[in-house]
Amino acid sequence: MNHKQFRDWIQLSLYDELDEEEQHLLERHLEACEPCRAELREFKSLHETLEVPMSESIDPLLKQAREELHGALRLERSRRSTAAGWIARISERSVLGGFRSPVFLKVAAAAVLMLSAGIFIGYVTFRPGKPGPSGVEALADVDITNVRILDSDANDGQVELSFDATRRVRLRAGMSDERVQKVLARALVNSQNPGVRLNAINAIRTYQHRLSDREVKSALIMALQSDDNPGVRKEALMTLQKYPFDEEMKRAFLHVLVHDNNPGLRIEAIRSLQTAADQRHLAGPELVGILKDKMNSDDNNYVRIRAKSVLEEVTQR
Amino acid sequence: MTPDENELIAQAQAGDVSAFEQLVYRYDRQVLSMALKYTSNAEDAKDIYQEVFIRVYRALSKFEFRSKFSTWIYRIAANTCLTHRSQSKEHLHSSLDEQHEGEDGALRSWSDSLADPTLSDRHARDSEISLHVRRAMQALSPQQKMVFTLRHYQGYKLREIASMMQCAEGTVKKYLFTATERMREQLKGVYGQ
Repeated sequence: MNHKQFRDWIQLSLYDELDEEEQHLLERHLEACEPCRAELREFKSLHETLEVPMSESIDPLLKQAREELHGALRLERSRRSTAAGWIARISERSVLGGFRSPVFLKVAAAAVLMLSAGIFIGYVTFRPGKPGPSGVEALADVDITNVRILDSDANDGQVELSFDATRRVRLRAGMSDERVQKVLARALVNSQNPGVRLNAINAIRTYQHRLSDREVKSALIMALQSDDNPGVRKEALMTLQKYPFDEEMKRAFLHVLVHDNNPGLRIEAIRSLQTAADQRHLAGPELVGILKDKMNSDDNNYVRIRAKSVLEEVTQR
Repeated sequence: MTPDENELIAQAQAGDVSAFEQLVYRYDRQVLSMALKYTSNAEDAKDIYQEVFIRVYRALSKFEFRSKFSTWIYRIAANTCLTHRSQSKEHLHSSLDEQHEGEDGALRSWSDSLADPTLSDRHARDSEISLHVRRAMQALSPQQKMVFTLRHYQGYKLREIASMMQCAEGTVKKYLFTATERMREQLKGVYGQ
């Protein structure tokens, strides 16, 4: 056993990482070795110095980080649900053998058109032999972010980049235009500004009879379940009430009834469920369980009374 | 009653947002603290925090209860720290202008803290030492800094760190010894005065 080994052990000993036997051996060595005792004193002193910054509080930073994470998760969920929506639509069409249906052909044609447009823009922007002004011009009004260099090998004189290019688009079209509906749905889910989200809902509600896009309804449901602004959640709920009641909406209203901490929203949710019960659209053991629970334990008296009333209606049928 | 963690994980895997948030709140203070010690920079620490929990959210469906959930999260956190590229290129040089929380809870920059005439000698000295420690930490390699942060500030055992960083315990020890040695060199003249 040499000094280097004991020196390592001194450090491990300060972190309580030695087993009993090693600790005992180290102590015996320290009794006889002044340089190692000096080493121990120095490490102890270093540890005391390192403890000083521990007094800072991270609470304000944690609060900020949680708020930002909340927004990021909302975006993540919206991306997921959009992707899931597309997959569901595609598989729905394939199950029904709908590849030959006119709607599918239109979607496919649009996709091909968009792809061609992308290739064309890419060609105009990056075609060989015209690297200078025309390429820069084509990107002049585009915000470029998230640039990655995929290939920087200088031997062949070419580089390969990938980046996100965003451009402000002005769109004037009727509310029945699918693009308008998609933009509103995205604004409702992705915008950081609650005012924009509320405006999106108001526009959706005003022209609801012309809206067919499922993405709009999914966005409303997502806003109802996860928007951190109760005003936005309430507007989403009121707008959803105008859609024909279905299983997806039942789940959304039950989610509000169980999880939303705003009693006004729980009351609205139970009102919607009551209407559905009146129209005999409502059934299921899960519903009965939740209503029983709410009837007995919700901290809002009115919610308890309404839960009881809906429960009676559902169970008497 | 606190819900059982496995139950919460299962609920979160089934898409329950509230269950996921409860899981986050169990571990996020530790993750942020680790990131803050590792980067010595509040903005970078917040970036890491967010990236960790987005990664956890995306990978949660693949968690199969083979390891402890906490180990799994801290492993993701350690990897995220190690691969994180600081957004604040000059935080070593600008660290005197960075904000920190004072004894009274108010945010102030390190340079203000050091210059404040009402500050007690001890607090002024602590602030100065803090700055030196942060600089010394920044001089370590990512792996040395990670091991040092996890062992010294977060209190994890070396075998736990080895599991988080997916390497041998002997390797972790080497990182720790080298890190301590370098910290000692960097802080010569600061401690023991």
